[in-house]
Amino acid sequence: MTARWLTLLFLLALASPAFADSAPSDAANSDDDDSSVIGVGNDSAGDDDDSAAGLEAPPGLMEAAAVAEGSMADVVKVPAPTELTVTAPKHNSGLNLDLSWTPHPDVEAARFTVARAESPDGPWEMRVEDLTPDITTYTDKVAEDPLNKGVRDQYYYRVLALPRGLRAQADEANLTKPADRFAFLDAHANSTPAIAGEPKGVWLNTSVGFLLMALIVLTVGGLMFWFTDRARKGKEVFIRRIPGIDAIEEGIGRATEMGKPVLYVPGIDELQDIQTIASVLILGEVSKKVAEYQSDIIVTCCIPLVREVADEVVKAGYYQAGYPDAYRSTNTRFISSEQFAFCAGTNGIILREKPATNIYLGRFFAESLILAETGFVNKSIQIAGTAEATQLPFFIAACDYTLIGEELFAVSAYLSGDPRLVSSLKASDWIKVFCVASIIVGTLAGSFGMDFVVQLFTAAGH
Amino acid sequence: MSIDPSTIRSVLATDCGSTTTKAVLFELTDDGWRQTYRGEAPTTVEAPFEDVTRGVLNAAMEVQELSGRTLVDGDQIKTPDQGDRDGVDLYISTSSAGGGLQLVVGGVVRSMTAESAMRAALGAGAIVMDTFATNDKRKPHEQIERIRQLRPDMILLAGGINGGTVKHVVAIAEMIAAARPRTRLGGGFNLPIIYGGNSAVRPQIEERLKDLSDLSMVENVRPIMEEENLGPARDKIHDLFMEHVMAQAPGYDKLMDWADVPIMPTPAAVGMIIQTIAKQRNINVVGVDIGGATTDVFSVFDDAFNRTVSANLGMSYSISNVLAEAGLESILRWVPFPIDEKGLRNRIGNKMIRPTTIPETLEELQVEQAIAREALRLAFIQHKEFAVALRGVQKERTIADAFRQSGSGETLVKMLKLDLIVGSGGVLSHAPRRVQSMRMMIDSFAPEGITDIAVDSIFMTPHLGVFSSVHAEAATTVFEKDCLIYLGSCISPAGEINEDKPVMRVQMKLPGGGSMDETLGFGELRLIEASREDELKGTFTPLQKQLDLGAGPGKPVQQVVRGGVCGIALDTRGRPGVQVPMDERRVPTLTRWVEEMGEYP
Amino acid sequence: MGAIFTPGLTVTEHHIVQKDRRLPIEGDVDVEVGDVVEADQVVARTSLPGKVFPANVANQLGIDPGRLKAYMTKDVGDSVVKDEILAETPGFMGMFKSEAKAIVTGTIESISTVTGMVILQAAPIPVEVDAYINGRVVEVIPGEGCVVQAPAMMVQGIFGLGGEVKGEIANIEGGAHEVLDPAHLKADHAGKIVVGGAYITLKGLKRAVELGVAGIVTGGFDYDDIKELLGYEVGVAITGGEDLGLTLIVTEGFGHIDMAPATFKLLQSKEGRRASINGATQIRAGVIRPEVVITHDDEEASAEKFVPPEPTGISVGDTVRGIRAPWFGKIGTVKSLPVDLMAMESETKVRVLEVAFADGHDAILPRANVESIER
Repeated sequence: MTARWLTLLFLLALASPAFADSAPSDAANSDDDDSSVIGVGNDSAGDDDDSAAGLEAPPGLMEAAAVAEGSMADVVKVPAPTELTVTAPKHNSGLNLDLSWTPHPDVEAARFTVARAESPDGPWEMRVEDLTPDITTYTDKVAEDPLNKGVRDQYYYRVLALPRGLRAQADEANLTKPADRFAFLDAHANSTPAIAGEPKGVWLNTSVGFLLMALIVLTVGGLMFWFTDRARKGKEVFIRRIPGIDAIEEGIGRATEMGKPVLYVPGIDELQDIQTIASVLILGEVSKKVAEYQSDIIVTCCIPLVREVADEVVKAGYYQAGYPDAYRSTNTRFISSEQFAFCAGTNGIILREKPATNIYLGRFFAESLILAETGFVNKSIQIAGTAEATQLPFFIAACDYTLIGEELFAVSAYLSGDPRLVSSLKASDWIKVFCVASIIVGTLAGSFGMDFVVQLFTAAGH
Repeated sequence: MSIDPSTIRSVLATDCGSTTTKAVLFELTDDGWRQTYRGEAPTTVEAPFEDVTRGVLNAAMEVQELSGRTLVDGDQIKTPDQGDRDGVDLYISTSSAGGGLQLVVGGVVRSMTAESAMRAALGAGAIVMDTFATNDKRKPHEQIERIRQLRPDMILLAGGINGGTVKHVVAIAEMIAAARPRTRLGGGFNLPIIYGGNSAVRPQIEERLKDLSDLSMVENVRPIMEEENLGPARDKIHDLFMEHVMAQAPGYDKLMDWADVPIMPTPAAVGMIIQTIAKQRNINVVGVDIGGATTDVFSVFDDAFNRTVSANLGMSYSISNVLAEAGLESILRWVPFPIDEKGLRNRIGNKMIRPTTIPETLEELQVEQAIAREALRLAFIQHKEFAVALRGVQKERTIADAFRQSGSGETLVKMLKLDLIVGSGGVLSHAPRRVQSMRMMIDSFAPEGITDIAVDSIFMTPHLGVFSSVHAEAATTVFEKDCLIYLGSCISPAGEINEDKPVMRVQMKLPGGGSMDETLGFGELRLIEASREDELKGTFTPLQKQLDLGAGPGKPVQQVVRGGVCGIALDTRGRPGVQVPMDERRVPTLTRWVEEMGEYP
Repeated sequence: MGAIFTPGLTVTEHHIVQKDRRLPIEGDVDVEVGDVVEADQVVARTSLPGKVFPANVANQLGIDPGRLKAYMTKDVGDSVVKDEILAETPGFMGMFKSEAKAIVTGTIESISTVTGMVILQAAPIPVEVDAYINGRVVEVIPGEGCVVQAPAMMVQGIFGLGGEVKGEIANIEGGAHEVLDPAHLKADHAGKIVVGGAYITLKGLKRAVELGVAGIVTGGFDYDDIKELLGYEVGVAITGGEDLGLTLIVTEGFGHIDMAPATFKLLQSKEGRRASINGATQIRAGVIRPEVVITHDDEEASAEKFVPPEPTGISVGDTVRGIRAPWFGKIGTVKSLPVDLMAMESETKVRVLEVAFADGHDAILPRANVESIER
């Protein structure tokens, strides 16, 4: 599998209309969520008028509610919901119970309240007070402890249909303690009978989404182990040839023949940037090779901390190659934290010390072309690599070899041949294959109106 | 050499090999330049004769007897031509006696200046015993030990471009100095060392090596990274070969005196004629010379000449090494009968310890030719790996290269561009049936597209090589007319074949007026009889879109093809390597091919 | 075909053997022409230059190589002992000194002011060459060695492994077709040269090494077993330097081949005699075959250098042995030498000879495929 083509496919897939389609639908979902949150917020303020309008209750009921508002005596009980069921979710961990009920068809309650008890006679504990009339399900968490400690075999539930204005009265009465408040509400509203539910847990979640997730995780892990094992046993793990990486050794050779140093620029971003990390890892391998050739390497840095790390890495490279005595700390240089001052300083080094080979790996911005052009004029072999898409065209045009995007992250595995790195590289390649394949299948299926793939992944997401 | 080619009418050429001295007579006849007579005699470099000229005179005597031309005058070759078949105008010679010219080369980076130095040495006809470089993964003391063990004829030291590195070059020179190397032939001579590296380092090199060796300076073999300049180093190697190596071998002083142009190492002469022919006909050529101990491969692709010596791939002294390197399985895939493996190993071992024996039975011949295929195949692989573009060169790119960044150091040997393969050496030149040579070369080189195949009839390429340095036109005439025997051409698609689908459609005129239109499947080998004079128009269409006959993948080729002593071979047995099933189908498959080609009685 | 390799193997009771005894590099020769020497006597000696140990002293001191000489405490040619200080920097007021020590005992070979490298050479290794056979010195090559000559029994083998050894001949029980396996080898064979058989098994050979047998001379050996024994394949027949624990000489070739009767008989008759054997084989121009030499010490060795006659080709009546299938190992006499080339079964056209084999068969075979057996 060629990582380069994968990258390209991935980019194409990102740009495809199908992907764009899925984005708005996501947004729509999240809107729903938001509105429910807002709804809850409004209610707690106690302003039923606003919320009622916001909830767009049927006009007939609106009038009735307006009449009902006022004194406590005006509050008329509304019929309780019917068909309350309490079931354990299918793929339950033993912590939740699903409630479902049917509101009375004729009269709409202002709010539903759910209460739970450990016996059918109480005491009742209010679980949620203000479910809007369009909500007819509720998932109750019976315990927080994942080990299910103290969870009872059975719980009892009732759902109260609160008439309009009742909660306002409760507020007026300043009923803040949950138990008191529930007692008040219970007294003035109709309730379903107490229904029992058993929070039974299952050992294995066999939902499609979860299984898909599990399959992906296991496959990834398995691939890693398999490739690592193969690599350890000395079997060749094929990585396609990346000319840009092979060229690094060639560039070092050229520098050796010409009696000139190698220049290495690890980007201009902070140390914690992933590209800088990758670059510093590569620097270790490069400096080892340079030491083997008994040549010199100059590293220019834009961030003081990067300079310190780079220096250590170069030193380690020389030690590993068995030439600790050839290491020169002064060749790892901090130039400036200012982008263009750094750029000018590095250009100065290119022009004065005339390195035979320039290696730019890491995160680059506007200075990329300035550096690369100066190097080209100096007739250096130049190897660049960045995941910064905007800078790639400049590097490709001005350098001999350019590592595109992900190739940058593959370099250290490629150079060191360390079985662990190589196998994770290989495994992640296969995952990319899977991702790209999913995107293609999803796009095609989506284009023909079949959204099962999207649903599959949505389920996995939940 | 100021010899006027137009005045030459007759030439005697000898090649002093390690066992045989071969003499060949070239004459300007009514039919133009031709090779007319030949003779041979055992080489007399070693005890008890210890005088190479005795073998030369013996061989010349044989030619004299056959031709009736007086060649030997007392203890001399008679020059110039007195007219009336008395004497010759020119006497020339090559030599590979005493194991040829053995060199050690050194450079800074293995794939750069060390490789350039190696190319110069190989091009000069030398055997490179070892290559030293800064990055050859050996510690200095290991390098020194190794240099001490080796007893080269000379050392070629390069490294650094002009104005380039100083310390690396000096380090290698110091290592050589510390080893105090001695010449192979011993005696009181200092070892010749040629320095062809960074010209700025000459004083330092002189300081370190002058007292220990016979040091000479030539122009840098790699003056800049982008260019090689091998000529001066190559010429210097030739000069020193004459002055030192030859001068110490018994009788060579006399031989050098006789010869009208400098004596050349045999492989250098072969390389020369291959280059000449490629240049004159403007084609790409691969030449191979398979000997008892070594196999030389020469190639000229787009004017770039390369030579490699596979020092331990040969048909007699090194035959066991072919077995060791190729593996028994690889050899077995060419043996068209069932054979006991242990017996085969002992048989090969016995050929190694009695190298001059001749295969008497058919089975022995088939085994020997199977081994030859592997020796040739391995030597060609080594050649492809060596014949590469220069490394360490700056490239210019455009944005279109984003996904097509070709690496450096790609092989120059592009099989689809190859026009002619020339084989020589006993097993190819003296195969009982010519078609056996043709198949050996097709199997081992796996030519792609349309490729002519020829053999050197009586191994006179070295003679012609030296001759071409005097009279290129005459040499190529003789090369085409008398030396080369065109066996035919091979037509084979490049690319991985889908075994279940048809592979190639051949529409072609046949000699004698007929025509053919056939579709070939996978694994077929056909031979269509046609001579070199037949010019057959044909259209050859690859039937799978990835297959290429030279016009691009899937595209048909319209071309005039010519046969030869054997004919035109159509080969759909897979590329880049011929695929032979290694299960119970092996013997029937091989037998089918053998019968189709009419290889064995 | 060239005649260089056609000469057969020498198998003869009486032969004038000449042995070149040369040093690998120039040295001193201890004998003079005419001296009578014993096999174990040293005739020439020298010392090989010791191993070379480079160290980058400039880098160790952290100074520019150009200034190295200024800091060296030793000069070229000085001898140093291990850990002795080679160079040091003065430092600052006696502090921050850095120094470089010798990594080996030896002499300083060179000091480079370009690379900063100091090359040390360890003590030389003495090398001695003995006479190998009892005989008389007939030629001295000044600085290199001498030629020892003696009348002797000489048997050449076809292929060998291992170098020169000397020991008493010990024949095994059984005939020329015996397979030499561990059962044939006894404890008192230690230090001796065991002779016999058509073939030695790998086990037999390993047993011989265990027992400390000095050498083995036998008919054949499996090519496969070489790899087993040495750990690598012998791709080119240039041997002699193997570290096998003993010297092995095969007289016939690879596989199970009876030792030629003449060879066998000759060696059988020498039971208990002291022999010098050498497994060194070089099948190239300047061929070297492995050999068994037993000098006739009772005869007066001539001080004149014997000049061997030029080798002659095969003639009618000579005894020859087939050396290629299908006649491999068979012995016969030459019946006729036809002049014309003839085509063999393989269609190869070659010069031939007609041989009457010992088993009564007559056959025509290529001249290149026989070797004469000299007596």
